[in-house]
Amino acid sequence: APADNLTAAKRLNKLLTNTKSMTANFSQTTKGASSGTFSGAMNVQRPNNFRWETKSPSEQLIVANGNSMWIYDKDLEQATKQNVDSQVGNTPALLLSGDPSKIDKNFKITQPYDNKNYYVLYPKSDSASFKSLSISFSGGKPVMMVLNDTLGQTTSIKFSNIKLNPSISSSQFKFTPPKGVDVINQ
Amino acid sequence: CQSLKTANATNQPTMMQGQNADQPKKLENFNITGKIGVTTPANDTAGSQGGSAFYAWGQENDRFAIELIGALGIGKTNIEYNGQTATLVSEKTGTLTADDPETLLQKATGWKAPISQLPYWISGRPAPSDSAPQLDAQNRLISSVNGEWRASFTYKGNDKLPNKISAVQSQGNKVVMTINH
Repeated sequence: APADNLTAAKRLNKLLTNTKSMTANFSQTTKGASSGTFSGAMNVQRPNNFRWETKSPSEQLIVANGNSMWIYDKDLEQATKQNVDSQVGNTPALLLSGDPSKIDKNFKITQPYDNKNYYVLYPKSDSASFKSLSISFSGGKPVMMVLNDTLGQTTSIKFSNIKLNPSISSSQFKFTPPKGVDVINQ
Repeated sequence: CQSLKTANATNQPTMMQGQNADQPKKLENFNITGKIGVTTPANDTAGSQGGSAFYAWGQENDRFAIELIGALGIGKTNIEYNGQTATLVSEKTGTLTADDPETLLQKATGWKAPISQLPYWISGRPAPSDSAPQLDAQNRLISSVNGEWRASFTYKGNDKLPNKISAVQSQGNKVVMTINH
């Protein structure tokens, strides 16, 4: 039987609060998409620091600290800076690095099975780019997230080689565009 | 007479007059993936705008289906062209249509890109309406001009097909595309 929403929110908050920082490899696939699987490495450090480095099929580095986020495409010689609360505001990466206590302000939190650490979140705002976002834990570690977007696409992100609460150098969350790269400030 | 000025030993690019047998024919069908980046020129009110996306592109004669996936897997956009009508579907815009892909892309994103020429360029060929295509010593297209767009091509080793295309428009719009065949 499902847990009531208040209990679900408390449990999720506790699990996420215990994840002060995290490093992992990720593998991301969108069902029905022809672009296949993206894989790479991620670092997260509360509050609001994350590094999402896609290594395959092409390289892309995303670094966010505080309100700003850099997207660096080395092969395109292009770096885009945008603020975090634009459309990427409520993404899987932000869920892991944002403030856990604010999650229930933006999402309705459910726990479909009282004895399973599997939570499904429904955005309260209509402008969210997805219908639901689920997160599963194993041994207190986030192991998988699934995003159902408004076009009916399902994107799954699996984490592996997970380290919980390691110390991560702050340089991991800083980015300076290399010389000669096109810089875009959105 | 020789319609083609052959490149000399010092790897001078060759001005190409007509099509050349060694050159890859326009690939009728291809399926490629990679990344595409677009930048618009800075103006007095805003700095340069633009963005990047992973793409998957399937081409069959003049019909194509392009799937764009944004950073962090957010914002998936499908652009299709059946030879008559271009259609774009995305979360942000819903479904949009236009008579040609260029008008459609600009209508949906504000970005400019020479989409109709890209299938030829992806195939290492000048588009029919290109002017001043230049080849390297291995008969590979290294630059070409189409209207306001100037395209330059990069190859990995001795590959016959480009693995990167960079096209700049006179007003400063720029498209950079990596290609995995």
